[in-house]
Amino acid sequence: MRKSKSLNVVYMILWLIPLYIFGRDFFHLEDLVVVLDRETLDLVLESFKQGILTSVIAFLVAILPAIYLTYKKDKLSALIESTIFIPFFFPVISTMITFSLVFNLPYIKELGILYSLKAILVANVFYNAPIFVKYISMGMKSVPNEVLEAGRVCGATKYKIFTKIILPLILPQIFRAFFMVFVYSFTSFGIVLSLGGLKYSTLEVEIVNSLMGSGDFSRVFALGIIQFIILTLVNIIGEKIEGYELKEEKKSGKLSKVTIIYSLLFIVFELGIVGVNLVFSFYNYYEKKFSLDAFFRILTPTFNKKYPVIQSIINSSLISMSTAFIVIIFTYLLLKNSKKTTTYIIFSTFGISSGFLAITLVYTNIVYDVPYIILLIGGFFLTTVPIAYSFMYQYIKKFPKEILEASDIDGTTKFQRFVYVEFPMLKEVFINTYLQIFAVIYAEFTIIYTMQLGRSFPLSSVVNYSLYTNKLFLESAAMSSLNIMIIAVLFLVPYLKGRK
Amino acid sequence: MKRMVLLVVMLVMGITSFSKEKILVYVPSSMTFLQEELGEDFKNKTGVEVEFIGIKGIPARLKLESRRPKADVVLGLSKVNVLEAKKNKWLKSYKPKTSDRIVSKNYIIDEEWYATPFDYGSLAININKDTVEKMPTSFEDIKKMKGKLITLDPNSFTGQEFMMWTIAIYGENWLDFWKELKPAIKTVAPGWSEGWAKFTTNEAPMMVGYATSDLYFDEKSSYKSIIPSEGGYIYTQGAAIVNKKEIKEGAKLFMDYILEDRFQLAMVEKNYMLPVTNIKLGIEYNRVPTSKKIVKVDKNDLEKVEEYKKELIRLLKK
Repeated sequence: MRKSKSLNVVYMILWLIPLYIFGRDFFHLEDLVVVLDRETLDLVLESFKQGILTSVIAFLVAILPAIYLTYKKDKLSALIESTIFIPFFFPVISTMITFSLVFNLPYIKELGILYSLKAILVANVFYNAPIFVKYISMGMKSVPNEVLEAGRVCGATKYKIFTKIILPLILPQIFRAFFMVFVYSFTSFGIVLSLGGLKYSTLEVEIVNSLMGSGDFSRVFALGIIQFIILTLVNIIGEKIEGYELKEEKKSGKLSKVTIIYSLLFIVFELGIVGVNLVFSFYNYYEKKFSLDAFFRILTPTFNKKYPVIQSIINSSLISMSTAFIVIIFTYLLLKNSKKTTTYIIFSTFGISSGFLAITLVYTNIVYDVPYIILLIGGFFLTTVPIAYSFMYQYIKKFPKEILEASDIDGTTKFQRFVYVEFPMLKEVFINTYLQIFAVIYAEFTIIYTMQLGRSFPLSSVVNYSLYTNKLFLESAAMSSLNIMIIAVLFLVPYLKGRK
Repeated sequence: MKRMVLLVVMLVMGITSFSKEKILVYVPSSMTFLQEELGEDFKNKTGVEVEFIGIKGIPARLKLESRRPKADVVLGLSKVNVLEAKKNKWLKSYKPKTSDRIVSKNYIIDEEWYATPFDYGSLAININKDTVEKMPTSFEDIKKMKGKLITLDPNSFTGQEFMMWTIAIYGENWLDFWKELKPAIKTVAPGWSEGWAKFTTNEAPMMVGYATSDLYFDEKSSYKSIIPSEGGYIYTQGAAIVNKKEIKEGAKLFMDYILEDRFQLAMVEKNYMLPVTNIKLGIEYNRVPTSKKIVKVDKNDLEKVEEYKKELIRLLKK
């Protein structure tokens, strides 16, 4: 059997095992028909509404900062570029807590944003606009300078150059970002749960709520299949879009005041929310007191006896480190041998509900006593391989063939070729992807929340959430800040060192 | 001499194997304090180690584990939950040796002892009186207070009991009441803990909660509870042994333990609920509002609870 096929099969089997075990005992095929009712249709429509609105608004919000990032290279552009850490590194739980506090501040409270669609959209846009900024600016930097020059020579206005030349050329990038943001918003759980409420339930929220509430597992399974079908179709469409083979070129030009001021506001919004989280960790808004006590308190043995903050940080770090390592190796091997079908298989798994996967993992533990640590690593592995696949794809697939051929002529083994040729050149890609996967796992909320491991295996995001629900707001914000610091150090240190 | 040695060895082996027993107890997420509060005490008294795990939606978890149960004991079952669990054979009947400590037959959840009551309470509307113009006294008043009430997901324990309360008052017109109550709802929180966090941070001035919640604050605080004039609703929380192939001795000991003073006191002091045994309450309990009129749900309604929940969720989502 070809290696690519066997790796695909391994990945598919790993997905299918927990799903099969759960489906075997709880799923009735007829429920797939029964579930096709008005209620499900409303859930699908609500999920689509939130996905599309988020994508469109995040796109609009990102245009001017993307233009700034394309044409300027200064401190502000560096800050704009750094916001990409938010969607991949900023913990959902921190977003939920910060926005709950912000929307509850005087004056803002009067606007009635909390528990409305507006609250969900604002938080989703905060999360996803940086993705658009990144993709649009990458696209714009790749538009050949001579094409732009030709447009100017022919007398085209700035508007015409943008709409007739730049936009068509960057459309594939925009679509890619659009699909990514759409899928993230469609499957959003924590934000909808805490900032929207029951009224704005999406398919993902309904799945998790039913798992813990009505216990109608067959219906949940059917809903999971519907979500899978929808998102697989979306991903297939997304994958069909192919970008142009263009190289980035340095751009320069004068920017309007509107672009500069708007870009500044964008940074205030994005980094402001991150900053608010930090402020709330040493400022008790309700008692109007500044104190660093919470930071120290969450590290004391007495506090940890009740809320295992330190243990959860250690557990989350270890799980994230080991899983990210396995993911990188597996994805590298997969990409070395991948075909078009591999891409479809990998991306179709984006459509599987995290909450649903979590309950199938719990059930696997119930029936076969598979230790939670293995199930967690397995679950995170399955959900992060597609992310690593998309990050590493172009670097592995487009690795210069002539270099590999030269090493073959020199008579290297595959292992030697990897160690002496590929690894030194791909080191940065491996490290960056490793850190991103680490952060995604470290900050993951839906799977851990649904699995309800409690004290048997405390993990960071759920311990943080329990601090919040137990009204320990300072401590919760302090733990959030601690998590952000851990993640920010991971992200920013290599970034500030000027990685390419 | 040989006999003595044998006896000592057997005794040591017995103690070691006995002390090694560990039971798993599922509790509502608001009751995870039990680990710190009673874990050691229970171990010291019985030699059995106990691990409490906070679970959201215990009935759903019982169903998930029905093929191979992990938990030995579950806490926090309502009458409705017990009916369902009994029907599906998820529970094992056990009458605690301490059952005669229960002071009133009214607390008994199940005549066949598939569940044992361990505390009870009265549902109420918790209010921050500083943030409302006029304290409401009835559900009819509350209906008129636009966007002021935090209610709870009917899938949660308290949310379900609140729904049952309205069914007990309004009978077949209960859904019409909810239609009228809807404008007064600020949000539907996933469960009591989340709702309480939102309420005490002033996200809304009223919340569906417990009459005993007043004890959480001092007498002078602005938080007060009311029991609407339409009638109060008392509910009892039950504990049960999970129907496993092997019922651990520790599970039975735990069921005996829940009616002992130490556990009952913890329910009063930490869970802000009322004891089912004869524990003397402090004078602060005089502050807890009570109602002369108590409403109850028909048995028929208890059996239709899942159907009712679906109807209510559908309405709340609109």
